[in-house]
Amino acid sequence: MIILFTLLPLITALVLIIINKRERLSEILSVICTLFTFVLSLIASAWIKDTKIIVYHMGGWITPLGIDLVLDGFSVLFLIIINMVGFFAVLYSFEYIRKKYIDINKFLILLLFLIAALNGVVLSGDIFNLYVFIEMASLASYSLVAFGAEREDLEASIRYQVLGTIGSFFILLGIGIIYSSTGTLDLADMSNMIRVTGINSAMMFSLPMLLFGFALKAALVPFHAWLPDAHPTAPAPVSAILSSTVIKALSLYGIGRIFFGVFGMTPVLYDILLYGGLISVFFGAFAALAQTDFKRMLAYSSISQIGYIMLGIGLGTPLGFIGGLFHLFNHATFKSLYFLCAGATEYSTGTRQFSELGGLSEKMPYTTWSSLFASFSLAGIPPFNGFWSKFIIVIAAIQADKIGIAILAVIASILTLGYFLKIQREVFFSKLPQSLNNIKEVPFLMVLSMVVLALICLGTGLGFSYIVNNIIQPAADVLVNGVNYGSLILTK
Amino acid sequence: MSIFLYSISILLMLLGLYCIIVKESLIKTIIGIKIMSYGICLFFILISYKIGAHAPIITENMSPETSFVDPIPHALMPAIMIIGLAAMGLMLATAIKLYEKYGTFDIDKIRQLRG
Repeated sequence: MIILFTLLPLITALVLIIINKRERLSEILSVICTLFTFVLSLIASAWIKDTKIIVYHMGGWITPLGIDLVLDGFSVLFLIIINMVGFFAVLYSFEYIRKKYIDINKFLILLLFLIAALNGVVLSGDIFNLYVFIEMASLASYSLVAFGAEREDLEASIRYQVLGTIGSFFILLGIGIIYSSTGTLDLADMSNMIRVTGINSAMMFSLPMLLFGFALKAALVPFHAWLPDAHPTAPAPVSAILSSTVIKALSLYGIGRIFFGVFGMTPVLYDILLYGGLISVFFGAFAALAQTDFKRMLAYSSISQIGYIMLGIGLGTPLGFIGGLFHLFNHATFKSLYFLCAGATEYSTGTRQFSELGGLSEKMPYTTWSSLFASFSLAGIPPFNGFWSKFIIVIAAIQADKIGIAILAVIASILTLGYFLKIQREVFFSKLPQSLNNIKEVPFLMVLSMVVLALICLGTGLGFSYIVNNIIQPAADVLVNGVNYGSLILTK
Repeated sequence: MSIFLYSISILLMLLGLYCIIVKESLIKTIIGIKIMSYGICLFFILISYKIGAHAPIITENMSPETSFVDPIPHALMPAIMIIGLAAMGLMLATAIKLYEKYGTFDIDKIRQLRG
């Protein structure tokens, strides 16, 4: 069953290539496919409740001879956010792409490839497969960023391509060095071997390579240059996927799997995550305050929130892991919602500049309310989900005797409140300009995906203990468990 | 000997990185990426190389001391090359489209976005 996560979107994408031009059919197929993987990912969280870990041996070859797919709590968390955001993005994209771009079919093919590749990244139990899926996801996202083929799209895409490729090369070099000293590519086998022999100096050399590669993919400051160009210029559903899942699955997942599961974390690595995250939080927040473009502000906000997640994980305590991973989940919900709202305003008004927008609350009530929900989550106002995760991170920082970090995290949260108020004032609640008198609310499917995501934001905030117990806790357990990852799989 | 070969692979990677960072023409940047990828390919080939070793094929009358080269990195190379090919195709296609829009390959002149 696990292989369906990758196989189903891949096959659907290939079928979509064959049935070319019949747009209604390809829309229905892609909705069914993403809905199925979404439901399957929710069911998967129940599978791992008792067994903790499920290993699928490709072709029946046992570990470490064959290639594995591994499903554990950490993978399930990522699977849920990837397939959830993927489903809503597909649902949203029909009307949006048809108005702003031309070819819905090609768009859906690339989107399904992206979802398949991301599912592959989080399921693969083999470091080279991880790399191949990372490259596949990157290629799909490069071409989705360039989808409009206008000046800005192409420029953002080429910048993303050059930096992303350098990042991939460093990851590959790191993998080569690890292979040369362990002689295996299987993550479980590697983890077991390193636990016995310890880390030698060649592996120490591969750590910065991998960290550099993943930091480039995660757009941690100072490697963030591509993100504020690539994310805003992409079509809105793609921005939602890029911001809320791609940068996390390609980087945080790699860090969680390779650094926690294989090498084992050291205090220095925790500090790199902690302080790198802290710098990102403040840089992203200040840069967001200065923006005049709706989606660009959200892109900088993503840098800031990724920093928050890194900060939570970098605290190195179990509660910190829970806070960081819960914030990862919440960020996926509210940031994708916010990007969809930005797309809806662009769909209706044709602009993203704050100076040309204003007073949309009269004309577009659903979009306004959804964006309000997203803002409350983003800024951490109870009872929305963003509040609980930030609260847990602050509590974890205090417990870990890092009062300064806790205070800085609270200050960053207030800055977040600042830029979300700016969005609300400039876009939705100021005076309506003359030029926008004739705009209408967006079509039903777009409203539906926004409203449902908004309800998820509120729902996960109200029922946060349920989410934490059932989805976040197993993922955090995997991080706490650390290098025992290998022995868990090899005994299967 | 092997130190020499390794240093060639590292040199290729650094040369490619230099090319990506310094050159202003988009095409030269892409060539730099390709050089860097060749450096990494050479590195992968080298980590499996052993002096005087045979191809990993077991034949009947073979002494037990025969040493083999490690086939896995060699098997990985086609995958890396194909991914590189796809990435290169996409990058060149984007570069050509950019040339159509801007009439130049100079990265300093292609600057609509603020970075």
